[in-house]
Amino acid sequence: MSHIHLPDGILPLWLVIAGWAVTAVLLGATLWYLRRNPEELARRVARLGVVAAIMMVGMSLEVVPIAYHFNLSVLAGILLGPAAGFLAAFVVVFILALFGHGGITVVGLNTLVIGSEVVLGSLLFRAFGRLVGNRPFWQAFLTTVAALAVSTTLMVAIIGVAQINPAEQAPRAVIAFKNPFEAGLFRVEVFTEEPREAEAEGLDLPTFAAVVYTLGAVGWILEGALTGVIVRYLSQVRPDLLPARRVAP
Amino acid sequence: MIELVDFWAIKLTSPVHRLAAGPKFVAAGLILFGIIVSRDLVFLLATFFLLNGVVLLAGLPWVRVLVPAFYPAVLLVPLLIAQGAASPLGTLLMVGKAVDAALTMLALITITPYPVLFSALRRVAPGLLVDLLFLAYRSFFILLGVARDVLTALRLRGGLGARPWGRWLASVGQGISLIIVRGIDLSEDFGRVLRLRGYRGRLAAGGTEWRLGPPELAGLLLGLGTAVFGAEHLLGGGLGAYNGYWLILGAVLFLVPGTLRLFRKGGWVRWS
Repeated sequence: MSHIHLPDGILPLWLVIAGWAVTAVLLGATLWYLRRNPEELARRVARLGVVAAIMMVGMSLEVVPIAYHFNLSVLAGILLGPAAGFLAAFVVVFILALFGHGGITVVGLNTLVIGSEVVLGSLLFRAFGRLVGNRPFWQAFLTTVAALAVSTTLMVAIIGVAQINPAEQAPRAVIAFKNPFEAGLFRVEVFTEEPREAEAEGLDLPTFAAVVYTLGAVGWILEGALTGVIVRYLSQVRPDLLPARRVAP
Repeated sequence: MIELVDFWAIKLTSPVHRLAAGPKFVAAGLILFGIIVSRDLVFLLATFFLLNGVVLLAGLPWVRVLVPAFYPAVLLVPLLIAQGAASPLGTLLMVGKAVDAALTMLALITITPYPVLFSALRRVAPGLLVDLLFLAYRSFFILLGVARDVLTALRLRGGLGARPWGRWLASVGQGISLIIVRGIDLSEDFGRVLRLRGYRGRLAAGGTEWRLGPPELAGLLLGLGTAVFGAEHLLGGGLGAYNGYWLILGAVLFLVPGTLRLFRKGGWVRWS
């Protein structure tokens, strides 16, 4: 529920451009960081591509009763670190947009939201390691819930800043639809309605936030539990994939 | 559906698939522009018919492409709840834009093989970023095969029907963990191959085809027309007197050859 599930053409142009600009700067920095060590480049690129693919596989698995799909973005942050993880977030968001899942023009903003999950996932995983000790399930669970809560808040903030007012976008019957042969026989002008006074109000942000946080909280817990199970499994089977966890004394 | 996209893009040989990639991208960009800037439901309805015509003409299974195009509309639900009944026409406009834009992207990706799509991006994006897109996309389809095997194994062992939820989640989590471990192994092999080939941040890729014959010109004109009608209100209302009846009629007529092609090939859903 932390994605910006908004289509193209809804958010104001300045916000879309700002999203792309910030994302472009961050992508430039992370690409530079990735290129710093040419010897390691091939291994890192291959790892990054596969982890991005794992995120997409996770997203294609749907929890049927509640139509929720997993992100695995926090897990990507844990496996890749903040810089490479941010790149993976962009790759996933871009490919999903090609499949019509999220607008292509909001890829910049979407990357910032998903990227925040990845970066926070990487940083908080270490922080929670100090807090909960050597308990990988709870370390990953708390990290995921916290990161998703922050990213959802970021999404709500973006919607708030956008000040979406559907009434402003309401059709103005630019191209009328009426019978060209018998002007008096039937005139279909269902799209010519002008916005009413009441429609001048913008989006009800508190209601939007309430809906998103209510649905989101279920998703955070599910995602947190799943990430916890995966990290616990990896800590037993391939501990080398996880960043070193500091055990509390 | 996603795993079929690759198959449709590469294996089908319709007139739409045979168009040169460059003009196809430009046409899709123009259509997308028209949808984004439009404030007209008649136009969005006509564009919907037009895009359906493209899908049918390409010989794609119509229903299977159309269903995911409506997915973004479902995802608008929180926003529509927050908006209430304040502006029903505004709501319809948002849903129309969501569906049309998604259908445009789906039509593009199902008629263009992904290596061609990503190599075109090299003109505007860093090579390393495009390589990552390419690798992720390719790895996705490989891992999807692994995921299918793991899910089948889980289902056969009763792991997916497990109750309570905790056990179900543990089964799914361990299945995904297995996919991750297999994926990481795959990435290590692939990393070694790249190193052996002296990878320095740029995979070899073909260029984008920019042939401009009559079919490509027709596609470009279609895109340009869509952009002009979509941006009508930005152009000072020059088309204000135009009757949308003709626009819808034209788009519906565009559906005819595609529909005939569909029936000639055996019905609504050719691949189950």
